Amino acid sequence: MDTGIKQKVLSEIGKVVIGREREAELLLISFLAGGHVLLEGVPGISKTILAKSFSRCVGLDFKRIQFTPDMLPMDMVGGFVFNVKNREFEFRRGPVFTNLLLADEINRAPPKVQSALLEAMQEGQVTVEGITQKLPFPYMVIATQNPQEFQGVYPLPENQLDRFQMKVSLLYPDLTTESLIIKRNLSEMDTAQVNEVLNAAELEGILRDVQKVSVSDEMIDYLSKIAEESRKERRLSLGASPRAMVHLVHCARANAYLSGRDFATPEDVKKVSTYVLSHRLRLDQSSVLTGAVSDPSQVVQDIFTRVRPPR
Amino acid sequence: MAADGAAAVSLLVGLLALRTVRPPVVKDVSDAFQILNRTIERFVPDLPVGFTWGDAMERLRGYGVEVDWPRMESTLAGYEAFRYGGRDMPNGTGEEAIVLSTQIRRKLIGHRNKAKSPF
Repeated sequence: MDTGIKQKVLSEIGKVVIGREREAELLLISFLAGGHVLLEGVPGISKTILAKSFSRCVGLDFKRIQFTPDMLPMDMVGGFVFNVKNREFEFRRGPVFTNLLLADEINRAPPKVQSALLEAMQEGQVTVEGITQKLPFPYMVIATQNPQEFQGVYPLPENQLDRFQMKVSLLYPDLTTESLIIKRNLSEMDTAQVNEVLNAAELEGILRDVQKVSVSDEMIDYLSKIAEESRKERRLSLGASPRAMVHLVHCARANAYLSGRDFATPEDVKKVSTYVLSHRLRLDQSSVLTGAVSDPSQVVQDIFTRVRPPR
Repeated sequence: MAADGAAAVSLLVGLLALRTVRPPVVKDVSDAFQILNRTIERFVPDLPVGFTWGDAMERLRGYGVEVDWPRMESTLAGYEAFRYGGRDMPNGTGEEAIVLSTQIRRKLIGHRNKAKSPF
């Protein structure tokens, strides 16, 4: 188990992104767990540069799509175009064919485009005119959305949100960090300063090792109890799905790996739980109206205080 | 007079018993951590039912419980590898866990039914 990788990645990202260590770590956890991340935050709080720096330091091919309301699925996945030289239709790959895709402002794209991204995220492949094309491995989507936008947006439905392994909310930096950001950006900041810290073979080895991180039966039972408790929770109208729990256990394993262990503990589960579960839970509207709850992450934390982990 | 004397002696004995916390006898590391677990559950009421070992260690450190924390962490790591990772049980009797357990009880004796931890 290599514990150095986390430090290397965080230090490279830290060259251009200030005060986002936790978010960078979560990106790494989700990447090692084979998932996709939804970054939520207002414009200008380093969502894009964080994703770009991350892809650079893990040595992945990176592409960015700026989602707009007039977009078509073809703009993303590609399509068949007629080649006049050989007089045949040939498939021209869209930007979705990459290792790390930044889907900027995903909620501005119409549902048809969003659902085209679903197959890519879930299956690691896209189907155009009945022909299925495999996407490169590893494959990760980092999508961003602005929670303050209400006009001209198409909110992601529950089934699409469930595809994101984590939702990470980026808040405004504190005063000291803000000053540091302004000071550092007096000179030109560029992701070119970020060095690649992993090569393809190392990355493959790490992804293989994460798969070997063990999860005991008692830990599985603990996760099941968490799921059950979320479904019994009165303040929720929709609890955690089995897929949510699968994502949670994968993230816990990745966190264990980054902590230098080859086994997952309740600590690993707890550390990633709010990021993995909160966006999949639906608050009960009467509880919201009575002021009993306003944030799903609070409910997640409460559930974890009630369920006894194996000790 | 004799009755008063007997009452005073029994009160004294009772008080001494409260102040003296004998370290429990343990078989192995697992036993030591189960005792520590029960001690925390009973004597640190502000930790919720769902606490993890990490939560407990952080809380007890914050309270200023005096144990050799690096040794305690190393013992805990060995126990966790056994408990969650299926490794062999570490050698020894988990002395640090017992020391911590005794420290908790020594500080908290007489406060066990109060809602707030007196650390």
